[in-house]
Amino acid sequence: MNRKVMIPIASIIVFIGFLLLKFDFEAVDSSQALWDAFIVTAGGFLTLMIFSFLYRDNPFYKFAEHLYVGVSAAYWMCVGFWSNIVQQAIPHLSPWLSEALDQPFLGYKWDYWIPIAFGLLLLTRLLPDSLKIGWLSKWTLAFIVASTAGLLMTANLKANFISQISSTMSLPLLPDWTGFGDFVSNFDLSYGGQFIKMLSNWVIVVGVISGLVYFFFSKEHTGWFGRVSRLGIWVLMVTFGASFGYTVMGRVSLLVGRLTFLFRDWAGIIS
Amino acid sequence: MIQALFLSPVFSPLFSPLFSVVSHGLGPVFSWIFWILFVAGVGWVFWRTIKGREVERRVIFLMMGLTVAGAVLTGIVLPVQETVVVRNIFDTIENLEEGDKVLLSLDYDPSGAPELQPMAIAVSQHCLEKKLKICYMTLWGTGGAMIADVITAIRPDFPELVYGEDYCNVGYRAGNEAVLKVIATDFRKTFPTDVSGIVLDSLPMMTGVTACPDFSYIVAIGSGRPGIKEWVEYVVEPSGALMGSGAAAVSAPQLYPYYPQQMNGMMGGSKGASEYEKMLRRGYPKYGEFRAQATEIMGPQTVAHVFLMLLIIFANISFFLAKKRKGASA
Amino acid sequence: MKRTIPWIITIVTGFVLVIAEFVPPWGKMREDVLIYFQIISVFAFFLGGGSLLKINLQKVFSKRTDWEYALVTVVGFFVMLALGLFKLGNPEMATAGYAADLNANGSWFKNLFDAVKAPLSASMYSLLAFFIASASYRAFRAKNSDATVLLVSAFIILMGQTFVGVVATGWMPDWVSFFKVENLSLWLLAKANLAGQRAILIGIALGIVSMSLRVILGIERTHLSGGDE
Repeated sequence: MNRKVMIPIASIIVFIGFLLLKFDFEAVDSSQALWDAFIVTAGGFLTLMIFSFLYRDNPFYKFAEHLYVGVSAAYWMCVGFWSNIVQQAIPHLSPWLSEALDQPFLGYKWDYWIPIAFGLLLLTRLLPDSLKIGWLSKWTLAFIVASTAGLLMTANLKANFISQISSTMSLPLLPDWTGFGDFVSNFDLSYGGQFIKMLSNWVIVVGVISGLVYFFFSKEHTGWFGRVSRLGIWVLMVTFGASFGYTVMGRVSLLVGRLTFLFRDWAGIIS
Repeated sequence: MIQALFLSPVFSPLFSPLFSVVSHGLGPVFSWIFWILFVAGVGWVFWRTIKGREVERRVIFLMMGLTVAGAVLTGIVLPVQETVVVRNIFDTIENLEEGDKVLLSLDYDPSGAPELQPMAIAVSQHCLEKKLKICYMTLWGTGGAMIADVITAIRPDFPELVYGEDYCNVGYRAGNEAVLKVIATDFRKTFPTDVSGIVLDSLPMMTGVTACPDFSYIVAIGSGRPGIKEWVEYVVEPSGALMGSGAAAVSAPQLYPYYPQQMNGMMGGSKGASEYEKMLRRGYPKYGEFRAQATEIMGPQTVAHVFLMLLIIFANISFFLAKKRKGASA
Repeated sequence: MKRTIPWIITIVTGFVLVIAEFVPPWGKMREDVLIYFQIISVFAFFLGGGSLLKINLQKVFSKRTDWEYALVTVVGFFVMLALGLFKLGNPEMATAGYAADLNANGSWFKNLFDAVKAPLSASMYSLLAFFIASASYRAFRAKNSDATVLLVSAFIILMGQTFVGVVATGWMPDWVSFFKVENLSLWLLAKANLAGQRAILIGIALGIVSMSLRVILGIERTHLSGGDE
């Protein structure tokens, strides 16, 4: 036998061996016990297959990657079908279908046929080119693009433009100000102190303005405009640094999560 | 003797966690071996780097893997500092009245679970301790499985809970922003039934809930799009609902512009989750006996951060040495 | 017909959604349009799954390079689809019938999710921890002032989010507590980072508004072009 056959067979044997090790032979519900053993065993093997990519691309990684794609696509289809078609649309379309799928019939809404029709038009893209009706999917695409544009426009204008400017401009540049004498006599660098509060508000106001100046490309970045733009770059660099720090934190957390699974649930080394 | 020195009153606050015996770790002997190997490995990288011989990519991978693996095996648990950003969420829930309704949206998949699932569990436990009613929902298809896992995790501690009276699960709807825009004004139009086809009107806890602002508090826990940003844009901004959030570390910095005006608090990554766990344990001591998942992550997390920072420092020392050498020879 | 109708659909839908923001009686109509959007979204999932299946089946039948892996995708797809569509092994089926929660604990669909999709998804993203370590070592240099600011900011955040920061600056007296790394890190995030993120957010918002306006007014038509004209 060549390697192409030997390796998969050996892998399957090891997998089954591990599955048997993990199987609780004394469990009352043997079916669920088998699933439990399968979940831990498959989880461990698939995790190692993905990690094998760190050495180099290899058949184990490719297997895991392709399995992921197939399972994910079907997962989303099933979830979407049951949540939006069966639970949301059918209870308003047909009492017979509602009963067949054990859903309550919530009264006719004939207009719910519109999205069903548009949805079916979208699926014409899957039909063979020879039928030449794939262009009908553009009707649905137009609806999707227009809805998204309509939603995004007003929401962004309110939450990300007007509110952000108002939040910035409403900051007091001299918070808790009771006079210069008080300010000097109470001066300290404590985190909640007046000076730090003041500094924070100045940093936000100046930072936002200089950041926006950097993004303004209709004027050449020279002279005072260039200097403000330069400050904007620094503010953005602080932002990217913070994002980097948090990205590291997030990815390491995932790695810790995976390794904890491997050591605790899969290998059983730690309790 | 060295161990005794580290555990002495002078050094104890700093070093004792590194060598303490943690119930889920492999014990102090392993900890010692790990730290010796860690220092040796880091030293080797330092030596090679300043000599101008860069360490190979796969060796860095291996060292990163061993560092995190070793730290996980030691079971190292380090103290967590609380921040006001997280405390605001805790205090808001703490100040709600018994019977108030909280909407908990779990918008993430298993890749975000190590950071976000502990938040969802801790917030759920807190709400149930306060006898608040929780409605779970999700904007992510994978969120349904996450909700099921959270309910499985908290259910044994609250055997008296009745579905529909104390908590409910309306599940998932596709449509991202469109879902939020509708539930901001009409909850039942998008969710006429719960996840098991039970009409929402027949669930006692949903009486009086017609739209998102009818919930006393919304906690959106998310790791991307659609997630917290969309909750702010389509629910909080137009309806004025009160919201706190739990964000995956990757997206947390991008959400600060919404704090505190549009969301009154945020848990960022496993650090935020561990802070919440700490507050919960202090407020409700019975949770001291349970596993604090996020707090367990923070130990290895710290070790990985130290390793990464050392790599960056070594590489920069090497860079400046090379620059100096180049300048001297020119 | 092929371009005019989609163009009309774009303009009408866009206008309904925008006008409804300013004319409250149109709110119900907006909700209806968005419910249609929700239902149509699922057909996009079907389209994605269908396209994936079509491409992979073609690969399998024509025995192109790596067709074996395409077969893995197809098998994974059909197994998950069968478990999900028929709710096989779902313990709630006995009482709730087909209304049973798809993700009910113990259902085969949820079990396969836990066994395959969950570990694969989590492992894929955790791989990035290794690449970040390697990239930091290779490319994160204080080459100029911009890079130095980025490096210092990242360092403070990395220290401040863990116990390292507390150990490093815990000795500082209260009157300089701003410089304690955990405080400095929070300040960087909630103030300096906020300023940069807000500038980016405002810029993006302006871009989205102008682009959306172009789409709604029918000026932007790239989504209507291409394919069989």
